[in-house]
Amino acid sequence: MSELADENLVNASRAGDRDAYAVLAERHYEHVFVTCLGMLGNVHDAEDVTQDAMLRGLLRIGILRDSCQFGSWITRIAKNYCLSLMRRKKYGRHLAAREMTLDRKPGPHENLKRAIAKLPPVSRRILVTYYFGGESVKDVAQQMKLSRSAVYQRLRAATQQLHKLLIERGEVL
Amino acid sequence: MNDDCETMKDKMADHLFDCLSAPDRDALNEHLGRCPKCAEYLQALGDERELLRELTQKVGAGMQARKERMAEAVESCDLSEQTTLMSGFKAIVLSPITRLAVAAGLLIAAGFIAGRLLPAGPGDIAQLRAAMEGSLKSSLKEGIYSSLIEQVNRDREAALERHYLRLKDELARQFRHEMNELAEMTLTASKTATEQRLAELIRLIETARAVDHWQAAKAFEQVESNRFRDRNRFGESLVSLASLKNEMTSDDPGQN
Repeated sequence: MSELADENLVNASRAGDRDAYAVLAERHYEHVFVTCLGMLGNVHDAEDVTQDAMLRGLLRIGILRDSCQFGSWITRIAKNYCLSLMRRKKYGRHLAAREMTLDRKPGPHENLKRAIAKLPPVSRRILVTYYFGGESVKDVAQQMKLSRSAVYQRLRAATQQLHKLLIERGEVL
Repeated sequence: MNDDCETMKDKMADHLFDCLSAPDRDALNEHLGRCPKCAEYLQALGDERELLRELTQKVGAGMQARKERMAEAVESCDLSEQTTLMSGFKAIVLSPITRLAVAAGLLIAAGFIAGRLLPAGPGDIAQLRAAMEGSLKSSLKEGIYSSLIEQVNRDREAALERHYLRLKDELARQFRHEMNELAEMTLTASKTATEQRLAELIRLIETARAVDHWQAAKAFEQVESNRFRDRNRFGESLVSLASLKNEMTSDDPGQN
């Protein structure tokens, strides 16, 4: 079943085939997860939101008009969930509270995660999309509908901002 | 750190993503050779990049487990709430907002029909207007606003289109007119110049011909004068010859 096109899997899912939807969800999981991670800057929240979006997609697949557009449709649902979470919970404070519960002597990966979470949204999204999307500027440009030079400029800015954040917090790696 | 270092910071970040030109790379290497702080900065950026890659791998390593958790959630999801096109349509139709809108529409329609059928006096009309005004305003305000805005946009675009076409025609017409005028002016100027040249040429020819006539007349006059002089001389010579003959005849008596 894994070799079937999205269109066929969507049609089977509409008919109530959970396995078909599971294949579909697995196929698009990584892209949706990276998008959520880019928006939220937190792995656990990104996983929760991705799962919620996938379940929402399962319940509402009957109203998807174009079967070929499942990827963009499910990503849009996930983005709306992210925005909703950021608005509802005052996401910055939510993250700060989560930080308080972390180990008092976090490792370099935790420091980096915190710094990524504190990046401006635009910088965080481009940095996460680049590193978690296979380090391809071409793919990032396509996904974010930007020119390659714009992607390079934003990557440069994001790298410098990340370094500044790590230095300011005394978390030199 | 100076201005040069600030510029080099950007180049260092670009260097990480391998988008630095060869001259810039050379300049950066040259700068790094004499600026330990920048070398340290580049080292830090490189370390962060490596750490990001590690983090990516770490998060990526947990991807399969996440997918499995998601698959389990999909498996255990209750599909009784699944939305189909029909249920989505029903949800829209049966939503409180739709119901309210339908009720408002029916109320307005009933009021309109009642107003048309009943012989309404001036007081009735005023009452009906007052009663309907509030509900009409609230229900139609947004629709009217949006339709008005759409209408204004359409009119504006049509007007712009018309103005554009008119302006284009006007410019084309003016261009043609000016080109015609220019051609006429050029032809006139050319004609005048040609006529002046021709007149000058004719005058020169006339002058040359007059000079030739005068010279020919002079030559004829000279020839005539020479001929007259030669005839006189010939006459005089004949006279001299005759007189000489007479003298010779008178001197020689045996000849008689």
